Amino acid sequence: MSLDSRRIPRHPNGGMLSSEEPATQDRWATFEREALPHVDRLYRLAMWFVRNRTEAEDLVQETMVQALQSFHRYQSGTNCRAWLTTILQHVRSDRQRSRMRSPLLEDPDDRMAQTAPFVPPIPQGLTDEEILAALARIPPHFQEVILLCDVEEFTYKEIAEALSIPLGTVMSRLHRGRAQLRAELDGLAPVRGVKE
Amino acid sequence: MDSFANRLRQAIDRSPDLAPSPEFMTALRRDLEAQAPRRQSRMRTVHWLGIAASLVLAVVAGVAYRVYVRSGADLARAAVGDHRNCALKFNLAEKPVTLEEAAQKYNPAFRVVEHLPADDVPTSVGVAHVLERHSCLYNGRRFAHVVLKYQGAVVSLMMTSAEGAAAAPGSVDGMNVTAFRAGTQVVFLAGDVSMTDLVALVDSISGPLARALATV
Repeated sequence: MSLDSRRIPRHPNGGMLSSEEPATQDRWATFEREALPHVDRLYRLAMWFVRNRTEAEDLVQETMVQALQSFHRYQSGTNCRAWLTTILQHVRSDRQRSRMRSPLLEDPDDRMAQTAPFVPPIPQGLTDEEILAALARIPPHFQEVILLCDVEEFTYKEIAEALSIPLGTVMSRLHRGRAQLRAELDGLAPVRGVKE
Repeated sequence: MDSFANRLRQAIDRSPDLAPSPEFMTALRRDLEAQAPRRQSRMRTVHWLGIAASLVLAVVAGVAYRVYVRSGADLARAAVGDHRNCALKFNLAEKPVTLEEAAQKYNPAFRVVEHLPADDVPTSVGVAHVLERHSCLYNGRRFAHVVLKYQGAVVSLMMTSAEGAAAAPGSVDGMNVTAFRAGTQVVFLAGDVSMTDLVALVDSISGPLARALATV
């Protein structure tokens, strides 16, 4: 596996660590404490996106290996899950690009950066499976931002870095994705006979 | 009406289809540990006295705060089973006994858990409150069991003798669990809280517990 260090997100402090960190601490112990607890959630994200257990395992494995090799760029105590997710998304998009050989297109959503806070409630009585099925029915690029924002609780900036898209695109995708998800969930509620 | 984000997060976290297998978690951890860079270069220049002092300190403290892997899936499952059946469902075949009685009959180290962790444990994300301390038997394995209220959920600390192995951090049978080794014991923490919160609790309790257990 080739590690392209330019793809590894650098911490806002420039990746500089305090003087005692890399040489006098066991990097593995720090990695074990800060990064490994996030593997479960990272895997769930990967699994959601690729829908294939073998591929998800491969993706998470490569992500964690890259993270370990670049752990000197991570500053202890900051949002490690966001850092790992950014690596995961880079690995995933690299793989997608190498498969599809298609250039990144400008996103038409950029034109529509509405940021009104629109958080749809979920009607009671819906099962986990129904909620996830509704999420799966909306376009994947909307799923991504909803998962990173609402499940992972990343900031817009962290999402923009993870997905390599402009901030405005994050906001517009979030707005439109939530609206579509709301429509999907509303469609389920009458069928189930539940009220909001 | 649940909040959108909470409900969605629960659905993701509880989905068995999205969960990693224990085998993958164990293999991943083993591979990463094998690739981990160890202390080198500048470390060689550290004075030998410093190294010796560190070693002595490590032995005295007995702290092995390492979330711990190998083939511990069975042990982790037993701990999660104990948490579910004892702390959550009160559904054990055998009635729990006091820690003192269990210490006399089975495992002297259990005596430490009578006082540690303290009844209120401050962590970086909130305070954990001890609700109950006892010793119980689940699936043939005896645990010292401390039940805590933490982040709005019931969380269990379960300690058992360390022969065999422990577990990788992660989800076991749908429950978040993590473990660390302390002296001759393995300590598990399990509960329906995020792994980040569980690790914050480990950070707060592992040091005092491991130091106390090192003297047993």
